[in-house]
Amino acid sequence: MRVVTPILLWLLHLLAALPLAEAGPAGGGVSGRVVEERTQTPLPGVNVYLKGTLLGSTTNGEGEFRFAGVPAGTYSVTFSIVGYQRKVVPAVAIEEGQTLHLNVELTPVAIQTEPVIVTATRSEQSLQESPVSVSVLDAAGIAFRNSLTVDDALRYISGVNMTESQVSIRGSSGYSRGAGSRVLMLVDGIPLMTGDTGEINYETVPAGEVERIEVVKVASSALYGANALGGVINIITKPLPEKPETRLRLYGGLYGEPSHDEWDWGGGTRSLGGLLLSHSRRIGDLGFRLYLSRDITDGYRRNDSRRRLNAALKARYEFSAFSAFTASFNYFDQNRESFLYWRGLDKPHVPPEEQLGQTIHSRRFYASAVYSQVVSSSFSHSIRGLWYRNRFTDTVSEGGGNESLSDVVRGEWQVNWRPSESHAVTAGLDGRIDQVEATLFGTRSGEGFALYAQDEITLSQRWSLTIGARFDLQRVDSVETTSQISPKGAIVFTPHAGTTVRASAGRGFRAPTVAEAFTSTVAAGIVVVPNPFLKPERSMAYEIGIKQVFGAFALLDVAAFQTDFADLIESGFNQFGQAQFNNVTDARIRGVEITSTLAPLARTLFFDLGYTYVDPQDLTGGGQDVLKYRPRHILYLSARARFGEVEIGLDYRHLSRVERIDEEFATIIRDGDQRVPINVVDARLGYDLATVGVPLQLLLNLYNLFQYNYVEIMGNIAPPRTLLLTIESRF
Amino acid sequence: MITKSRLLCILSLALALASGCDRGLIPTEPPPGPGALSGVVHYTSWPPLDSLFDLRIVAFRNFPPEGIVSSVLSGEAAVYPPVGDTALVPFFVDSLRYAFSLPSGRYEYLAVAQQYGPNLFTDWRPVGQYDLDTNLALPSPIAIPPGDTLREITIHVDFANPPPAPF
Repeated sequence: MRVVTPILLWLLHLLAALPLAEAGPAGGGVSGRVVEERTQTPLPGVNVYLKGTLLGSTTNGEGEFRFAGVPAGTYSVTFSIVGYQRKVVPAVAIEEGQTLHLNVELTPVAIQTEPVIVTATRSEQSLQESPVSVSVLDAAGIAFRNSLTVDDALRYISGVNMTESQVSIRGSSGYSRGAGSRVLMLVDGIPLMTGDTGEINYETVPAGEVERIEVVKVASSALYGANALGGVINIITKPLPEKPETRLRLYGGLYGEPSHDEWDWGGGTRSLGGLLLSHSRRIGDLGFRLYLSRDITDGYRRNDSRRRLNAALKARYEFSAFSAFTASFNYFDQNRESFLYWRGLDKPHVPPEEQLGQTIHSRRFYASAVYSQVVSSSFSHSIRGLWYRNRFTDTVSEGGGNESLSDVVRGEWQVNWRPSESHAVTAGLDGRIDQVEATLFGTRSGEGFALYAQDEITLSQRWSLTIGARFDLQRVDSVETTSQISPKGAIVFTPHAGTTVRASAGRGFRAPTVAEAFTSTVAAGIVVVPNPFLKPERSMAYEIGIKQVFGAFALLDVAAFQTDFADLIESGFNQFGQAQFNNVTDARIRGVEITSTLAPLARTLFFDLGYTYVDPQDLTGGGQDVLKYRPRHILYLSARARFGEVEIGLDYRHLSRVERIDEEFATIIRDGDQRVPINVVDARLGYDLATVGVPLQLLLNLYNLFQYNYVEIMGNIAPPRTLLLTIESRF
Repeated sequence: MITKSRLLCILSLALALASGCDRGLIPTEPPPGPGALSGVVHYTSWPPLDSLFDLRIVAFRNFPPEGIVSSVLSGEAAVYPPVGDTALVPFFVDSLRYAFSLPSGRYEYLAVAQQYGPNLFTDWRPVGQYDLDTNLALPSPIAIPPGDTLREITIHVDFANPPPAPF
């Protein structure tokens, strides 16, 4: 903390020194009201922005919006919100000193073809115009599936597969026991990766706070730096509502009995349950939300129980229509028993004797702050800071437990500049400091510094080009300091409305983590030794794709991709029989992805399809092997239907059998090589009483409906059929 | 025109056919119940300490085994003292009385193995084996009765004159 504390103070000082009471640019104004076309009810939360400028706003609870200080000129005003057709009002003439009033009606649509995303280019744009493949999972999708954690929600995104809690986008990652991630996770645009293992802890971000999840499926180091070589997951938290809102959610459920009598381990009825309580309010220009959730589960296996607490505060102060300060605080506490692997496939719900009683206690905290300011119609900037502390203690290793404390402090300044209608420049610099004190890794420190810039160039009405690059300088304790330049380029062609063709190329990289370079321990008789000579992993990714909208009832996206990886870090055994991380693998992953949404019956019946074929070649041994833990085929099918206040849905996931796993580690676990393709069906039924005037929603979820038995990682059988009943009220 | 409910029924049926018929992983046979083995190891001609990294009694299901570490890790061999326990290995003694539990059944090869170098995976050799006829240089199988102890199994270890090494 010697270094962390002064940096925090510096960030706070910097924020305090900014011109917080910025009055905004002078000029004319636009105001107006947005309503639903059919019912004429006001629409809150509609994104309104002046095309070709950085001026944007959202409608309030009465559907009203207002801009001031708009330079005189002629603009197109764009209105968009999930569930409605985007509307563009062209040729709006604004004169100096006058305010123009617009009344706008939005039409509900079955398929949302153009949701606004922010991750692909670090600026707001329509998904349809994105130069790279992006999938979006919105709050309704998360809530209706009743995903208790973010990683549960990710299991329904095309091209994404989870190996326990490790995410892989289009085959970018295998399974590395929590050390390192080839996917970068952001929360509201700020990286949230632990300082010691460099991993993603999804449960730190409460799923109930998530507004939407954007998944960029190509290397994005040109904008986001390390870890983004396999893609980016950006979790956007819920905005603060205009009106006071209290939300109470209670859930409870039961795990099914094991599907084979031989597997009955005498665990009896196993249950799970929890509650979520949040309250949002606005007092003048200050809005805030308090959030609390508690989850308790017996687990469906022996020595697998868990108790989890999340507490969060999000506050936003709007100095003017053009500047705001947002702060978030999040605390997470989890006590769980440790189930490392099964005793054997004759007893898959029971761990070996020596694992019984082992526990892990995790406490995590993060605080983030964002100050954003629109300086003029062509220039805006934002300053972001984050402090993420991760502490865990366990009783897992031989000869006593492990303890780790890591701190990450990040700071970033980003500017968005539109020098002309045909250029949108995004640039920034960011820095990071890590500190680690751990029994496994020792006392370590690291730093990172980066500069990036990107220009989105509108060449014509049909063609647009994006070019950019990022320079990163990274140090991880005594590992040699590395630098990396990550360029990228992308082009989008729109031959006619509803069709876009895209092509992109970009470089990615990932620096070794403290855990990969410095782990030193003995576990199960295996000696793990450090490797301070690790080099960064690098990748070069290419993608072409086409997106086609068929009227209001169908959307199709087809993409082909290839990523070449060099110096992938993997664990293995050295010449002395000691386990160690090394740069051992070069790889090439090629594939095709098809994503489609169908709404054959107006706004009541929907189908989603996502199919990804991945050819994951390990080039190290002459290209004959496949990479470990990568399924070749990933298929998601989803159907949902609405009958008045009742909604029902079905999800089907298929992942082909993983062809290769860690052969050495599989020998440690009895039946460790046992695995099958994954075929899982989830069903759900919802009843919304809001239509009859009662602010109550009932949800019934049945996960793994057909009680399919499978593993995601060796020696860990997946949950059986699980029933969950949820009651939620907002008032 | 196909109704919503009919479409969903068709989809449910298709999904049930796709995943419901196959239940995925199925139970394997449980390992044989435990038995026990006891006896004495007699040592002669101890080597220098710098070549004594470890010493274990290993009962292999098959002969010749693939390797000591892979056999132990895959459950094809039982080892005493257990994996990870180095405190119970006494060096430079004339004899060691041992007793340990292991899955019951037939073991083709019972040996004392010495780790003579730092590589846990490769630096092993047998230095003594259970054989009823020492002239044949072949190991003698043993059978561990379930729930019972096979007693008085004696192994002679001569570090200067080890038996043939099958791993």
